[in-house]
Amino acid sequence: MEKRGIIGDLPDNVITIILMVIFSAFLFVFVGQQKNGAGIWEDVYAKEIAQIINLAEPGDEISIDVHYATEVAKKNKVQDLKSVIKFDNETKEVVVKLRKFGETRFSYFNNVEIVNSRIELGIPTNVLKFRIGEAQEGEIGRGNG
Amino acid sequence: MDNLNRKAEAVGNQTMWVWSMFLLVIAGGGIAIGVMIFYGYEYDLKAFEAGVLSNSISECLREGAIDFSNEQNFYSKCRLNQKVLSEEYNTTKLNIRICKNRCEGGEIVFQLGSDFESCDFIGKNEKYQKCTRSFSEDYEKKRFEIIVGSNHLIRRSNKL
Repeated sequence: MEKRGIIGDLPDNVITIILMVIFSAFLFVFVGQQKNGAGIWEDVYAKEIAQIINLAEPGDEISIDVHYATEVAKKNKVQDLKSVIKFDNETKEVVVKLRKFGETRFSYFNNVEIVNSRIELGIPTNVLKFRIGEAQEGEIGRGNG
Repeated sequence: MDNLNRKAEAVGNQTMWVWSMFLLVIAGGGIAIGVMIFYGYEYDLKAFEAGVLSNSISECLREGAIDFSNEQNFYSKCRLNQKVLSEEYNTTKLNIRICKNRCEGGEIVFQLGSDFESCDFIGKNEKYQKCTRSFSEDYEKKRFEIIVGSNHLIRRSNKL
């Protein structure tokens, strides 16, 4: 007598349906992750914030609504929502991290220092606040030339 | 004969099963590739960034004298970070050309980068830089043409 096992005993159309369901589930998860769009939103926030800095003058106080960015980060299981957007004053880059693994950086050419940057949660939305300061000694720029 | 018919039926069923799986993979793969193309596209602010840099240079030309022979004087007066623009930190791709009167036949007083040919390839390829051309006068009413091109890209990492 031929032994076919559990799968072998199932009719072909049932196996086809099971495989279709598994395949569709993978596809839904993949499309869902892409639609959630951490990558594209990191890109958008990094570039827009860099342009705001490029247009700013020392002494400016800037507040930006980053509620959607924090929502995307939360969906992607990022723990520390207060550090989803940071500034690297050394390399003059905006650093946006809306996913667990990885981040996106975009540089600004305005020779300024970003001071006192923080994300204030729930006032009533989540807001990124920072101040534009003069570039420090030794850096080349209009403020100290 | 009956046995032969059953074998043929089994072969036919298997063929149809492989065919339906093939169609599923093709359809699913098509959707996946479409979504990747749609959501994987880079947010394009190159033209805007070139405009911002061009305005920044125009403004500092109007504000006071710039000694173009001293590169650092230009960066300093215009409050531009030389290390970012000269790609010392990463792969920033910004090109600047400032000419007396006009760049066609005029004297180039300042230049950063060399790729200005691709400024003429408007709409040919999204990966080419986007440029702005503008005219500005300094505080002594001397006329300058400013060409700025941007092909500034993001830096993405996948580390923890």
